Amino acid sequence: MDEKKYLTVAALTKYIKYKFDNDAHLKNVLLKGEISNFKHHSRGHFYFTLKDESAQISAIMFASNASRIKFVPSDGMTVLVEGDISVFESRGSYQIYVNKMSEEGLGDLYLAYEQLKKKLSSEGLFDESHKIRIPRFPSTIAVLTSPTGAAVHDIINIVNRRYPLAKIIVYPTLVQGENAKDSIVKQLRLANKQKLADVIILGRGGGSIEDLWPFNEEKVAYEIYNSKIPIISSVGHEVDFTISDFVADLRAPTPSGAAEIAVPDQLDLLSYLEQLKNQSKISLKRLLETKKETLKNLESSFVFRDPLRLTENKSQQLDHLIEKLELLNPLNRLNQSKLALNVEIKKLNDYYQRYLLRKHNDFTFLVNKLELLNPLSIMSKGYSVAKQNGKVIKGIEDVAINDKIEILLHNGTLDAIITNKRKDEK
Amino acid sequence: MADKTFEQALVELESLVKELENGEIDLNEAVKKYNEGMKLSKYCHDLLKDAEGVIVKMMKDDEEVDF
Repeated sequence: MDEKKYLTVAALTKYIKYKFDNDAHLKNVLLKGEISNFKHHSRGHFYFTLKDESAQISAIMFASNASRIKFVPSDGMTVLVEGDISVFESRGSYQIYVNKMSEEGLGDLYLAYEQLKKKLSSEGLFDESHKIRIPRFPSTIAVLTSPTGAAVHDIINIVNRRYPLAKIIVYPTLVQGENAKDSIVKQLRLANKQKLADVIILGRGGGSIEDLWPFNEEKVAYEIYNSKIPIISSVGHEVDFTISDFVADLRAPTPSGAAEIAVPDQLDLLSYLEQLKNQSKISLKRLLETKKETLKNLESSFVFRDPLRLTENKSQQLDHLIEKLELLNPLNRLNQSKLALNVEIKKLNDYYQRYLLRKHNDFTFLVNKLELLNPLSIMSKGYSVAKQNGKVIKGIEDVAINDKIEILLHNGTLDAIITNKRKDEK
Repeated sequence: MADKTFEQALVELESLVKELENGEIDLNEAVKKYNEGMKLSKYCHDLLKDAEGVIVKMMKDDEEVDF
């Protein structure tokens, strides 16, 4: 029977570590990569991951070395490092122990993020005016996240504690990896189509910049922008800002934070109810006091102390009113109109009289003038008209010697014969 | 009142309180509104106190299933 020799994990790991440490190719390695998951430990060490498109390696830089670098490393930064590769036995993982580190420039992902942020901002996707208000008391909350992650449980716990009247519908969503962006878009559309929720929480827990990347995708941003239901975005930790956070109607630092924003706290509500009750009581009491005060004022009024004054006052008022009424009496007004009419009639009469007189004078003048022109009235003064054959003789050449003529006087006619003609000497 | 949502009842209560605070109100009306307010407040209070907890569902193939 074979006796198999079993190694301990520690022994194997020690051996692996020995292999790493004795390989010259793993000493003083020069390495270029992008930082992600950067953590500055309180004791001064840096823990991070270095990566490129296809691989990654854990990295540690102890405080003694870390304190010497002049820039602040952060996620997305591409750096050049020098270090040794070794094994961290208690975790069974290999890592690079960085001695030196310098900045190479900003990483591609970071640049892509900045460019997209700029583009979407100029397109107005982050505009405050487009943001929808989160309802005060949501009845149904759609949670778009991984149904197996910690985030969904955090959200459920907090909503349950704060506002147990709400309902949560989890829309299972991929929140990392290549298919995540399509999954987010699909579930946002579904939630909008179904219209069951009045607020959406979209998010996930913390992770590397790559893990959070679906929330920096352009199509996700547009879908958030087009949602008719308000969206609270909560991606990663407090320090992580994604494009989704900027487009969403509200950004929460974490999924728990999103749940706290989404619903009111029942403790606050209960004390608010108490406050409303108190306000009602105070208002009613104040109203009662005001009414009492008014009553007291009325009772102490002179009306009650000296009721006669009320009637005096009233009778004076009555007199005044009667006077006013007199003025308004229709008979009075008719009389006034009559008076006015009489004045007008008199005016018209006077004018007519004057007109008649003037016309009479004109007439007399004309009659007199006419009288003066009447030939008969002239003849009565001794003038006469001479005619021959009915024709008035105007000059001596109208007649000849021995012609028979008629001389018309004012009371008859004389027949006469021309015996002589004498022309007036001038 | 039983079919009112928490929000509806609270909003109603808030407007009653506002009317009472305004003071331009008949005393009879005020007492009526005050009683109504107390009922609404109790209703809201009970809704919260009696709530059995948030209902959690999951959307699977366009249907709500238990989470």
